[in-house]
Amino acid sequence: MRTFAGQCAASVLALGIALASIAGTADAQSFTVEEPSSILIFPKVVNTEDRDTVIQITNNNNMMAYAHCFYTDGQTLNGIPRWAVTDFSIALTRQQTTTWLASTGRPVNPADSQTGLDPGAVPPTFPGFTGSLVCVQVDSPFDGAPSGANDLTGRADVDGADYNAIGIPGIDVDADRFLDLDGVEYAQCPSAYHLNFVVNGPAGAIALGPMLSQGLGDSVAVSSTSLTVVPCNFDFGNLIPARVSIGFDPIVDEFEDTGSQGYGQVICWENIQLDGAGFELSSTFGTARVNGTSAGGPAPFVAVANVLQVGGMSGGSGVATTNLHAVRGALATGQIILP
Amino acid sequence: MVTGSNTRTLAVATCALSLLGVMFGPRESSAQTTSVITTGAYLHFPKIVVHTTSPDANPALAAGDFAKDTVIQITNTSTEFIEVNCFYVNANSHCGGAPGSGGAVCRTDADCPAGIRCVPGWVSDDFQLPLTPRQPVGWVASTGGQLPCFGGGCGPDPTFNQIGLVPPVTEEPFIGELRCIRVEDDVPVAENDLKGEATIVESGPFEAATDVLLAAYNAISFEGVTDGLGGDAACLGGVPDGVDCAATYSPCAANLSLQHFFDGAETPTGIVSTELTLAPCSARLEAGNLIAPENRVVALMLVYNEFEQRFSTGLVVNCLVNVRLVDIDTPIGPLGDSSSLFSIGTQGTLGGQTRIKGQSSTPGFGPGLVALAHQYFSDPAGGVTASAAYHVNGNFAAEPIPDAVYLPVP
Repeated sequence: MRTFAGQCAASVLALGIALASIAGTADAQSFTVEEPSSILIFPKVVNTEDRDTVIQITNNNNMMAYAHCFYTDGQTLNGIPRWAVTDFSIALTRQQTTTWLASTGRPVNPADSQTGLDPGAVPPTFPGFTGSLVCVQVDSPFDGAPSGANDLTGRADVDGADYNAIGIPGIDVDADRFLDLDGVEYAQCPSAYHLNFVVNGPAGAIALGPMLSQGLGDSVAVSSTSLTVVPCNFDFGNLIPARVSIGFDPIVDEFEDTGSQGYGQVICWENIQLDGAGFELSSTFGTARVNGTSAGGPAPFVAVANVLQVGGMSGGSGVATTNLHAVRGALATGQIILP
Repeated sequence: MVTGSNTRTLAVATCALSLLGVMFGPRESSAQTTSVITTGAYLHFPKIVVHTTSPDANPALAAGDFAKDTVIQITNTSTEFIEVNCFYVNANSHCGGAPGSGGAVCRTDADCPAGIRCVPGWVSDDFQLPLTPRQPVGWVASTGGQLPCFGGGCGPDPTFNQIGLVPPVTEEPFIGELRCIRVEDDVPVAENDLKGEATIVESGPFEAATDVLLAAYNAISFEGVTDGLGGDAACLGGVPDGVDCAATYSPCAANLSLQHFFDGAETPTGIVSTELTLAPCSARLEAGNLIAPENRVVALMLVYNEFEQRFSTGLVVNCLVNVRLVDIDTPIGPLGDSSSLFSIGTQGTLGGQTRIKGQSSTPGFGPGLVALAHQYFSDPAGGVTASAAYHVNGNFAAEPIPDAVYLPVP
């Protein structure tokens, strides 16, 4: 006769095996902003005079999780990308969330004003930093080997505009320093996205319901959308900036009128303003397919959209950042090379 | 003395905790998940809010309040003309009775005259949204909108929107959700053509409107899997027992993982307060129908701070709940906020993680929940200066517990 303890152990074991087998069915995993992953990409991190970024990373597992992180400065100097990389490691206890500011980092200091369990020394970015953050889950602190445990989620707040970190789940991760985002070792990145937008400038005025007590109404007088783009290739070993050519084709307005517009090459990191003739539409709302190419073929990249809207009567402005919708099936292989 | 009964109780408790640990511990994943970054056949906008200075608003905005409205965008990503059926779900409570009774919109009894109760009520109102090839459309929730291509056709081979108007929300203030499903002749189909975004615009204080707050989010997208099943429900993550499905879709998350600041945390943008919107995945959306409170999900929550310390709480979600984190475990309003598990004073760390798992015992309804976090940033004087919305992460099970959305299928 089975005892209760035996039945319980069997139940827990069966559930554990079931969940473990679920974790093993990783072949269909794809990039995500919802599920825990082994690589997190924050495309937009800024530390400028008037803006700062709050980074939040969470371990979704009941075991310790470690990550090797890389800040990359995406600014150019005389037209040449700086590609200045700063790396650091963090360790997160089970289910731990940790938070830091791009401007201050998170020093290990018993008198730390940011109370909480320090995840390790996180360096500050320099004033004026504009770029990205990539965190790769590893199996041990400091120079650990890549891990496909898929424990990490993240989000960033840039001056009151939030977005979820883009997660690349590990599938069949090996221990070398070449992380292939090929759908075999890690999930692939998208090579094309659908972008909805409100037309830039006064043409993008939106008549909201009345917002002022005088009955004058208020509306969004000016809209402005930009796209922060980062190639899904990072060579942290040789410090070679990656490139991707960005094009918007087709651009469609509410009346089915179509157009297109090229942008050119993004090296390392770029904030692209949606202006130019292709974005001058005859309706308030538009949509565009954003395509990444390199050497004539699709190229992987990640992006977030930034929206600025200004009130007509008030003149006040608000900002928001959103993740983009990937085009189904439009995936391309990228690679991350660790030092 | 340890008795046999006590030992048995201890063993049951230990086993239950072990199972709970396994359930909440390792992550789960599967081939199909909901997503906010891919197109789908069914879109769920969990938070639509309207409260303007319209004379019809009942109650009117109070001094110092922000006026608010929601801009909604939906796009047909296919090159074919498509049909979409949309459902606004009004989640307002009213003083003295159900929606339409004339009572003011309220949150608690304290908002109503003495002796009159604040009665919950949920109503769905539907409309059709035909979209021409690749067409993006947008409208404002307070006013609705005129669809393009109604009077004159669009495109080189002109296509016409047969329906000209998107209706406004039915009352102000309004809090609720919008669900849109791809159909053909009102029957759900598994064509993954839709994407959507919402932007909550707030202007205030409305007396001066010196600040504009924007919070944008992507609609939660459910991927269509199979169709032509002949029933009247959109089934998420499988076929619930006893439900006749019209089509099946990707599942709701088995549990949600909310990364958040504890209320009162100071960031460079300001002092943070977060609103959480939770809506059951299952729903009855027959037009004009009063959604019965049978649609009830218990949201169990485990709250972790940065010291690995764990706390638990929960709340009941009937139709839709929009609540400040600090009001989840304390009375709605400022009373008791500093004692909340979600207060920085209680937790002592800036940020934390809350794991949320839905539980439902109602036949024909699942335990799935969708969620949206909406942060407000204030200056030390209490003036709100910025807002931001973000998605709540999810963990998906290989064999999810299915949910059902009942539709007015002919």
